[in-house]
Amino acid sequence: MLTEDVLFLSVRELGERVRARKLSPVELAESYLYRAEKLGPKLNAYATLTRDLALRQARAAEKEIASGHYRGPLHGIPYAVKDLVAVEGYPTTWGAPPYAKQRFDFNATIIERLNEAGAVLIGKAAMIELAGGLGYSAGDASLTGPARNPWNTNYWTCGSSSGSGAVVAAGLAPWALGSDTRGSIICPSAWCGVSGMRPSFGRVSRFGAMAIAWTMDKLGPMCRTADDCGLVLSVIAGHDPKDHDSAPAGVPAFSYPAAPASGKGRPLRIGRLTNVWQEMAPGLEQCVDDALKIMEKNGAKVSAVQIPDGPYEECAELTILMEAASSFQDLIHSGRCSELIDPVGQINGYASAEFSVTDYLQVQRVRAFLQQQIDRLFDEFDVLATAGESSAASPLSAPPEEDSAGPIARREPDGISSLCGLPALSVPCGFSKDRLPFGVQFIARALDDHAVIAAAHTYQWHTDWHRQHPSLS
Amino acid sequence: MVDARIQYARPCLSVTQPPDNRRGKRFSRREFSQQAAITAAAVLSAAPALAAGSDFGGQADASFKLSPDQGQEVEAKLGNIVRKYGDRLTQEQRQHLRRILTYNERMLAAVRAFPLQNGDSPASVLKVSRAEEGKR
Repeated sequence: MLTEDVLFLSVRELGERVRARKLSPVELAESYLYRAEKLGPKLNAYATLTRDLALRQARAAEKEIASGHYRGPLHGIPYAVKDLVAVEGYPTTWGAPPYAKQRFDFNATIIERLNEAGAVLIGKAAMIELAGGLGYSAGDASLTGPARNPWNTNYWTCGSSSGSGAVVAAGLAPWALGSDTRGSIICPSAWCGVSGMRPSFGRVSRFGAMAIAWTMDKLGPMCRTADDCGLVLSVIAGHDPKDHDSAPAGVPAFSYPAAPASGKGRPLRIGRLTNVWQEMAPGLEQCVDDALKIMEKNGAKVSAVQIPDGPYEECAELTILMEAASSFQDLIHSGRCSELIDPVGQINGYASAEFSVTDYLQVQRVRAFLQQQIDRLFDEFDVLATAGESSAASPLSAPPEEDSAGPIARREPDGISSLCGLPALSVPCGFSKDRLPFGVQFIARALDDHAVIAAAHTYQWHTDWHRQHPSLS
Repeated sequence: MVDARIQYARPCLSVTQPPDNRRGKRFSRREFSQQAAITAAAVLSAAPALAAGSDFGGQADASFKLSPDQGQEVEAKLGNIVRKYGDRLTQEQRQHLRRILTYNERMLAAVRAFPLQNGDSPASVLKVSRAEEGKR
């Protein structure tokens, strides 16, 4: 079996070795499968391992590459996919008891694209039930139990791409696909110390993926580096007529250089968000400051900026609640929502089904204004920067969250950027006093996915937080 | 494309609550949350307490209680849920639903108070497509 020295390499590094035939895709797949079988259950990281499929794909890749047919940077490279994406013939449970036996007889578009790229599917990553679509209050709201953070297994990974975060952080696959309706890639990436990207809305087809909120759902990569996010996105992005909200064919396609960038692109204009979190964990603000100083030292221009006032959080949350009531109306009306694990998920749909159509339209009309208001910020900045999440990981023993009593955190960055369909990328930038990862995130104008990758890649070019990984045995 | 009319000086044409506060009042969208805070304060002084906690003035939390109308809306929605699904719900779940509906009402209040004009379109609109394009 391959050692951690290899298994924690980036996708780009693995790909270069595979292409040069210094690394066997079969040996790589077997090593990740062995590690996933050994460590995965301790972390509740995987819902299903697709061993047979992985080895079949790895053997095919090895044969093709040996014959001189190299498909590109993901050829022969293993990955995991969040268990809300349809993979023909395998369970797709959406993390929820009512769908424990669900299977589809087709592949999601994103799986077809990865198959065409020669990627090797190791397994389906665990997730929060329905990706939190009907609400949840604690990390154990998952068919497979609470995902445990590889940096400290008494702590949570965040959700809803909980298993994807654990898989990448623990080296159970070099990258994993997550989904993000409102922070479900960014938060687990920050808490697990990996590099996770939420692409612009419409960049990546969601055909074959579970829907929560059609106007907010996105699929995106969680990797070791921002550069890897770019490589993966270059494969999975593109117009798909099967997804009504897919970016139109006229939108310039996302492409990413085959050769690694030097981290010395044009000077970036970075807006440091100063009014987005109600509070931050001790030490986190300093880590973000330090990160931006590194960016400044390497040519970026950093200045403070505030999010203009507006009901961003309300619009984001209401949009999700309202659209989810429609997405899951069968579950709600049949009463099978009572089979969900979380007490919030069991009843929340009933409340959401009571929203009126005029309220939905009011939210969407306000949303259009907020989109324009946020877009204007990018006349002055290439990216906005802030913490990936306001704290490090929370303990699994923490009491369940009760939404109803607290203040509405109106300007949380995930609410704003998700509402407006903006790309964001969180990368590790330090540790808490308990040795749990902190993240810094970059947010860019809609469809300017390159900007967040460039910013995060520049940062990682000059730092090595992303090279650190937890000790697991 | 940004509608040139939609700048920061749009007069308020429809603030939903309470009527006394909007009458003759004109404010811009930038002033929206300030106005909403005033609205909430007026509601606070006039209404019996039904729920606590809101932040109409941005991030800072001010104690906020639902107005009688808002409280009635919460109770009407809860009554409708119980009428349809009451046999599935325990007393504890009904209380939980009341808290959820109250929180939803707080969020709705902020959105309903946002000034819009007749022609302001929603963010999600119909996209025209051709049959062969959307064929699966």
